[in-house]
Amino acid sequence: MRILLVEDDCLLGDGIKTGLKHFSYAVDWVKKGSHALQALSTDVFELVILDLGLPDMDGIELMSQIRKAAISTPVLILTARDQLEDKLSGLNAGADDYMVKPFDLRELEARIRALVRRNHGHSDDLVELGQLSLNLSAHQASYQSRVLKLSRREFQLLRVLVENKNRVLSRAQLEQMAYGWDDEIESNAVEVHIHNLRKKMINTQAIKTIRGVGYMLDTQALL
Amino acid sequence: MKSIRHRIYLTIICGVVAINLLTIVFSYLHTQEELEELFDAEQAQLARLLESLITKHFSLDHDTRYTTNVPVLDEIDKQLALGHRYEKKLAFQVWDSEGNLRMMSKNAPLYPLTAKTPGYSVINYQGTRWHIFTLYVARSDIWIHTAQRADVRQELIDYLVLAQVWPVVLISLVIAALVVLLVRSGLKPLQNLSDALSECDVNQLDPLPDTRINELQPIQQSLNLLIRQVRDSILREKSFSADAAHELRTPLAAMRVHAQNLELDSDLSEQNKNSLKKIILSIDRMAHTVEQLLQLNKLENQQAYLLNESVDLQQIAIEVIAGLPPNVISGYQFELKSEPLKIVGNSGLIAVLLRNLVENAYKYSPENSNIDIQVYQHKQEVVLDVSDSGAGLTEQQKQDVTKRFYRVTGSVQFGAGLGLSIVNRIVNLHKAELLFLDNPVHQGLLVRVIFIHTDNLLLA
Repeated sequence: MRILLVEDDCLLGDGIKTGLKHFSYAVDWVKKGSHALQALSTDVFELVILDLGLPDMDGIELMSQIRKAAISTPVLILTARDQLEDKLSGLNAGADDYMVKPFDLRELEARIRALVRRNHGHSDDLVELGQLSLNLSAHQASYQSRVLKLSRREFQLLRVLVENKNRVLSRAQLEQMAYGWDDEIESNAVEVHIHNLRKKMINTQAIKTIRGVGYMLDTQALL
Repeated sequence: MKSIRHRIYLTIICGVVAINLLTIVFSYLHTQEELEELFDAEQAQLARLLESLITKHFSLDHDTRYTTNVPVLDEIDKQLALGHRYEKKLAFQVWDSEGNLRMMSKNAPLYPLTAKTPGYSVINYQGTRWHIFTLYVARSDIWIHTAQRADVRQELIDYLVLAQVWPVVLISLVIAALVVLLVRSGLKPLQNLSDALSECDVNQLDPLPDTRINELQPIQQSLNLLIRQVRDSILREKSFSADAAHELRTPLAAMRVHAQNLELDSDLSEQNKNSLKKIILSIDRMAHTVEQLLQLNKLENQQAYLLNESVDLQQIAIEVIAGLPPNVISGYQFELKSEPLKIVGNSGLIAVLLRNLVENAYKYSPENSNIDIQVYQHKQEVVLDVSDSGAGLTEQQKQDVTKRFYRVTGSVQFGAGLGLSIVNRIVNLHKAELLFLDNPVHQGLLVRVIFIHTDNLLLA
């Protein structure tokens, strides 16, 4: 998979290039905005990693020019600017993701993977998290090689928790994401379904309750 | 507060009123004097007319008594279009030396209008005051008295003078209205300048619009200079912050990436892997300190925070807890007890404040212990409590913790001691109150931030 890295800092650029090689990405590295535009007009890349502070032009300006040239390659902005206005102007100019330095290489890799997958318009049908596996097309879940008999809503809830693993989701968020607009939701539906999921998985640790906030699927407890 | 406009109104209008009052008083006195003389002259003239009439055309027998009906004369005069409505106010009597009334006007009183000496005099008779002019005609040996009642004369004078007062009052009103209009239009540029100034805000420091008024130029130029300096210093501050952030974060990112690259290399010995983990930990620690320093620098140097957002404390608490690293969430028992309460402030800063408090709470608490966050209303205030089950603080420590780089002696957790300085600064910006208390439920610390409730802020 070919990635274009636009970064003027030699030490960091070199590090990212080497790092991504470990994950078997082919990285082309340019240090100037003009070179980036040239590369994008002649070659095809799966993704662009863009630094905003470039010597010849501002990264936001480059971002708009890329989109103006009708290049739809996903762009991940990787910058030291952490202000909300910078993030908004970057995303509004057409960027697909935004990360602030310093960052974790594994997170960068995960985000690259997600962006590329989204760009290809498919997600994997089979998701595995430790001993939990979800077959999204067959609407089937199994834990410790044991098929779980889940209702439609319980499966939806589990799917949302898996998709947002290690993230706290409030009850409102879960209701919104797991159930359709038409579904009539009992006020304690989420609590009841979570309770059922825990019972069926015979694992009370995996779905953690943060009282007053919501729930989180803890991948550590699934190993 | 004094208003230039009101002061000008007051002085000009008071001046005009005073001048007009004086004018009225003087013209009253003067007119009275002139009218007195005029009436006196009229009386004298009438007397002389009577004298010539009597001596030329009448031989006044002792028994003859003439009465002239003045109103009848009036009728004739009216026909001749020569009459005047004040005319009938004059009366006359003609007496002979023996004390017989020989001739009188109908409006004259029946009592004698006697005066001992020729010329002008004033007499009181039965409660009525008369102005008398007495003429002695030696040839016929008669006394001619022409008279005018004092109250009638005064009434005439008053009437004439008052006729002059009304225009003065009217002119005063016109002048007052003109003063208000002219002063208002004259002070318009000042008003515009003051409006432009009040619209000026820290986030949009544009030069003031030109008033094109000579007198205001120095003020305007100084203000614009000041505005430019403030804007420049804010811009300098912003670009310094951005540059510092860039220069500090980029090398840290490079260090981290290279360290992680090494980690991905499978040929490392256990010892090397261990060293590498510590390098990455150190980098993270430094990155954390850099972030806090940048945050503190921004908080202390740049006042340009919007502090008028409506901030939902419950929502922010949910976001802050949900944004904690997963290992922290699974490692402690977090609990949020809150009501949907709103305060006025900057939601970004409130999130930073709460994140710092929560970070401190879990850093200094044993694993799997309770960390409670509470948002509730107490009387007129909104209270945010973060309580932990750690070692707590001594009274002395409670006083020291908000100092920069202060760390509890012997603490094992990493951190530069900047977190509470940041918290303190944000609390001050929001005019809130920060308290360090003992956790009443578990042993540990309870940090309380007290905000003013939105409703009260709106009322205030």
